[in-house]
Amino acid sequence: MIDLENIFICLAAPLLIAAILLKGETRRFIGFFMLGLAACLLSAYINSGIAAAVSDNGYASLTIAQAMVQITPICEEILKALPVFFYVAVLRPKRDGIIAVSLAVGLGFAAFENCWYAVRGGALDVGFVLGRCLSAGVMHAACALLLGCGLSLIYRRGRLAAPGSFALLCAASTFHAIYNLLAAKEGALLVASYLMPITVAVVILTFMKLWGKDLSADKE
Amino acid sequence: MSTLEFIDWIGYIVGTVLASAWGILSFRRARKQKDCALLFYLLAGFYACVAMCNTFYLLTWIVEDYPFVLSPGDLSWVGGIAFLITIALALTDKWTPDQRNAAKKYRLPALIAPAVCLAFNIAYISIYPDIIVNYLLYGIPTAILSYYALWLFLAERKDGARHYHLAVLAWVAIQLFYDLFSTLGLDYGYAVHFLICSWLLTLATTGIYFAAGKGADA
Repeated sequence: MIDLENIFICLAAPLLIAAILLKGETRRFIGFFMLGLAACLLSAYINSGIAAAVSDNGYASLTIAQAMVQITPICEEILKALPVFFYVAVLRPKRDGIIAVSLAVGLGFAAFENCWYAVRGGALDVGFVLGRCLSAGVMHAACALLLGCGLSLIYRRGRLAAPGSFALLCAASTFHAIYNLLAAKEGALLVASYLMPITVAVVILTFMKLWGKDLSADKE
Repeated sequence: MSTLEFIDWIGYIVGTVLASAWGILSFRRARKQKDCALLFYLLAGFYACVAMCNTFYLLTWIVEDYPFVLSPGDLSWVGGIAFLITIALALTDKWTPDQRNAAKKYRLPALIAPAVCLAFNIAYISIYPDIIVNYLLYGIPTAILSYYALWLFLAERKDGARHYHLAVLAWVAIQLFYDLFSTLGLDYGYAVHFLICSWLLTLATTGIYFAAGKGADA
């Protein structure tokens, strides 16, 4: 039995050394990547606790598979968003910094989740692992980009920050839930779950390539 | 599949396609009208939420054979409401301090709107106390949205922005009737009134795009 904490230590230790040795934006990126790893570890505890609590509870009775679709995405997106909200609220960074930090947390989360998935699954087919890890990684990155880009637009607009942040969190959670709904199935639906985040990421990257300057050049 | 169920399915698909289209158009307008780009980015977010809500609902129907009673799709709808509130607040960015002071006197009358919303929801909860979470999840954000929409409609001096707040109020009203018919019809399956409200809601969601455009032009 390999504990989650051991995987966390294996991944975080070299990054911690890198964070100590490096400076500036690279250190910040690595730091938030580690926070993404920690968020994933924490979400594993919380998800299993919530799933156990609701799985045999009258009206809200859910199977584990249903809990993965209904509860896990919300919990994970909240935990991923917390470091970014803290960064934005306390440090008042520049716009590009928010997107980078949000992306770092999302990628850290995806890295830990993929490691856990690969370790737990044992000897899996390389194609399956590649498809699953790539799609989950891209999905987490796409959710992080959604949150980061949105926050970078609204965080300095006072009254807009609270409802806007909540709206972005809801949107990211639903996108994540749609992915989980499809990924839990087999056949064409599983393939669709692989293609969905990759397609969305290509669209986001195209938008950022074409109109990224508009986002960063927009009035601060 | 009954004819009414088929019409309901078509409604969800049309709603998803329309919301996606209005979302993309909003994004394009954000690029063209740079002085009010944020407003259209937020509008694109609203339509993305509506499209994802419909998509999730349809997918659970297809994949699980039945839609979840309470799901992240509902959360997406609430996210859409939060986007609408954010847009309403963004429209007040150019208000002068005098206008802000003058607007305060409309706060109290505007409480009528959330009171009506909550009254509807309390009535639903009394009929179906089992699904109280659903009614609270929809009822509270809708009540907050209706408060801002009515307050800013009364306080706003520009016609364009008032169009937006009026469109949002109409959207809230149709949603209340949609909830009313779906609540009363829970025991009877599909009803024509329910479907009419469903299609009207799609129409009102479309109307918000044009109303927000007028608000931005103002």
